[in-house]
Amino acid sequence: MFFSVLLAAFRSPPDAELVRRFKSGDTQAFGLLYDRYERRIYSQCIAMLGNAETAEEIAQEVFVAAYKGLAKFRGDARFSTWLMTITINRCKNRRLKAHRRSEQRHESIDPSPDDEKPTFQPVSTLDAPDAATHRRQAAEQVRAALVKLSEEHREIILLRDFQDLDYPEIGEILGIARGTVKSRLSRARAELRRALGNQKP
Amino acid sequence: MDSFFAIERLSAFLDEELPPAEMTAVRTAIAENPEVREAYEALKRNRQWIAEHVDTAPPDTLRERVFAELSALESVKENQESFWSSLGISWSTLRIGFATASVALLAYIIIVPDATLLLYQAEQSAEFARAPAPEADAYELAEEPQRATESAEMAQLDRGVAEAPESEVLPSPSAEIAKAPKPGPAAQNQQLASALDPAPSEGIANTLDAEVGSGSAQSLSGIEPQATAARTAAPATRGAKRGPINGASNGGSGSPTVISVASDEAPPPLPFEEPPESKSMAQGFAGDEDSTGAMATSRAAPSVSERVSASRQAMPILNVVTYRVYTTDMNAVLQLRDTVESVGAQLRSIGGGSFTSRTLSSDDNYVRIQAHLPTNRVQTVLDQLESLGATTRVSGDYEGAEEVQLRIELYYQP
Repeated sequence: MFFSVLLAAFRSPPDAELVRRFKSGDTQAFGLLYDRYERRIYSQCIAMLGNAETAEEIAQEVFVAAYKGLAKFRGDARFSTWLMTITINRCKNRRLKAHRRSEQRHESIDPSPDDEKPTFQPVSTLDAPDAATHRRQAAEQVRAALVKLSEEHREIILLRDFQDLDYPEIGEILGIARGTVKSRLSRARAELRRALGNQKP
Repeated sequence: MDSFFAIERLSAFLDEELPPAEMTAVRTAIAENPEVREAYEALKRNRQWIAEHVDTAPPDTLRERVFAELSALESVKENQESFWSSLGISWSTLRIGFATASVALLAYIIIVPDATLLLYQAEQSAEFARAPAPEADAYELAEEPQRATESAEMAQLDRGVAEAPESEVLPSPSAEIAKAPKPGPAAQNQQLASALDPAPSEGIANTLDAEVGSGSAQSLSGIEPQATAARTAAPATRGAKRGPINGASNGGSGSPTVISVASDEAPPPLPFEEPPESKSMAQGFAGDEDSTGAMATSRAAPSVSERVSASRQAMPILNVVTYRVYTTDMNAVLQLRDTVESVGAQLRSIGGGSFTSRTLSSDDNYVRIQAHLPTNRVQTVLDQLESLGATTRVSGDYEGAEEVQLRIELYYQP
């Protein structure tokens, strides 16, 4: 993965250049940006929401919102940071809506706690080869552990350990100070350790 | 470094976010302390798992869906732009225009805080200007019926004074009362208004009695049925009173005065029976401080016709008189209160008069007594008031009145 990213980075122009081209009317530049971030955004969504269908829906919303708002993007932050901010906010909004719907259902005597917490839906592994099956099972375990975390801890772990963003970028996305990033990340990792226990994905 | 502190810093150590000194200390703790080392290994392992296993390939449909939506978005945008460009307006210009208009409107609202109110008032003014006169009258009648009635009667009286063909202008009231023609309705109303003036002085009335004589009195009393009917029908006596005053203001004492006298076949005078409307009307006057002031003004220069009519009116005249007393004797205050109450009770027992009072409270040094008394009983109360302490008449006058709305404000000053 590292080499593929490295190669892609060498082959394709940087984000800022693509953004500039898009602003000057080259809509194809957005296609390149999409290809660069599609997997990261979708993975972030599915890890945050725990549901493939919802994650796909939110990822679509994120890219459409980015397309609409890119003309106003000033470039103060990196494009990846800006895109991740959109993603985090969309995921949070979806969680909030689901929570409200769940509360309304509880009030209307129709308890259905599905949306109350993100639930992890394992992918079918019937037809998959053994290596791939093992890999998917491991991913399911990790995601299952992630959904046990609080939303605050889940998002900061994902931003640091999956998106590989540095502390200032995380602070910018979440709107918190660098010291808060440090302490929150420490607590989140401790919680994840407890959630995973002795499992070995 | 203590293992607890080392474990607390492992996360930052992993991200190389610690100061160099702490990095060294944690590194040493990891090397020396198995518990710290185990925690560190777990953190590293979890981080690896997250990096490896969270990564998920998106479904193939995602790209199609996203770009389908973007295409739809683009086509809508193009349609919008083509519509406005067909009108000769570019989309960007239109947006700038909308933005400018919005900012201008906001600025107007902020700079002129009452802009909305001003707009509303302007609209209201325009509506009033557009509204036909009858509707405006109807509105006024609905809002302030008494004032509207007054205005109408004022206008009628003015017309009566100016246009009454049967009225005759006489140099003085005593000259040709018997020869006076039958009054028109306007003149009758004018005379009624004069009759309803509540405050002719007793001395003046006596003088007039002597001057007019019984024969004239008999003929004058013929006005009464019409007067009573008019009083019942038209409660706006304040406006009606202004008619003769305005008419007399042109001449002064020797000026011509409009006098209207009843017909020769005068009905017999009715025994006094105060109609309920008149009584309530009188009480309404009595309770209105402004109207009291207006009465005082009207008494300043009563015309002869007013005096004649007023002296012949059988309607009781109710004056509002207010006294203020400062006393140091609480028992006397209570005694006075009892006295007034007993007078009020007597009045109630014979079906006339009323009595209201406000009792003292523990933290109150003020008593207000209000009594509806016949005039000849007022002096009794006043004598008692003066025995209490300094008594001041604040407003009103009971002389010449048949009944008095007596208000006593007692201030207890220990």
